[in-house]
Amino acid sequence: MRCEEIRELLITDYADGELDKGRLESIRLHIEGCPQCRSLESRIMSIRTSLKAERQEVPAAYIWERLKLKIASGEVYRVGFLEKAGESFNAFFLSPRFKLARTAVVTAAIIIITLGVVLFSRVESPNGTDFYAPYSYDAAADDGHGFGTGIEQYFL
Amino acid sequence: MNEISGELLTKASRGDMEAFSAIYKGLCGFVYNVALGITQNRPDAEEVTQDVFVKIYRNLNGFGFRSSFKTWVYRITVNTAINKYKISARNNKRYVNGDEALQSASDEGKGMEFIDREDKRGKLESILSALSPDLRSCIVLREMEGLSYKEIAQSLAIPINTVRSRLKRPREALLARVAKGGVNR
Repeated sequence: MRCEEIRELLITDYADGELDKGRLESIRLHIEGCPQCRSLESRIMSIRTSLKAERQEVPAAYIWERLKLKIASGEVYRVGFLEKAGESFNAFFLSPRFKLARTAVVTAAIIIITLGVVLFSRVESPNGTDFYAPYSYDAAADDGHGFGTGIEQYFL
Repeated sequence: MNEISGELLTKASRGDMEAFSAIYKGLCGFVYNVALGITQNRPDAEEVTQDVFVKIYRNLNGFGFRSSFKTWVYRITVNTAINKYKISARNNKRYVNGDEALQSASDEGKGMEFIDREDKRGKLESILSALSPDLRSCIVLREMEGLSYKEIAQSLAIPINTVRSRLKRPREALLARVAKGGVNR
């Protein structure tokens, strides 16, 4: 592997322990012989240690007390229409229970959209036959050069 | 995040407050810290924590699957926190474009100015606060909560490659900052 590829992996998969044994070994071998990549490895690991050292705080006790009050008073069930719709949408699209229904809904939506596009793009002609993308001749706009572009005219 | 047993979930979904209290105790640390990492603001993080548990309580009936419960909680937490951050940022007019902020934070001069103005809790955290909430949620889930790429991808409903690139960009910005001596290790 080239240094560029190694550096890419050092910042991501290597740093996060997402590499398989074989790739990990080949990166380690490379690092041993490459001072630049070794330096990057040490810097990225140092940054990761700093980020991990970010404090883990304990939430205040009154959050649970407020939550209990909300539950006891039934306030948890008082939700707006939009929020309820959002939650139902999330429940439908996240729960494994609706996997088949989800696939059916998505397939039906694709079919409906495709049919809609096809049907609405059809235009009926005055004599009753259907045709696509109508073209109407405008004599006033005709400059006598047909559909050609300037460059085509130049080579004629 | 602590493991929550299926039995506890079933009991809580039937209105057992003791079981729900145990679920709260097991998850509140994770929920609060992820919320704090994303919103960068304690009152907002507290509000998000409460909202997340209200949503969990209300919808427990539909989530008796232990395997998906963790992912579900991750996703509710991240979405609620991102929404809260956006609302607060809009109200405070401090929402910044993620890419621009990342660029400015990794740039020596502008970065310091941004850091001094925006955050007093340390330079590393200042750079994190300059990220868009999407990038920050990836960093928070990976660095602070230790989730794997697969778990992050499932929680945020994004491809693994997107997770990779969302982790890479802030790290590159941090590396650039370290190289310029802006972050003391």
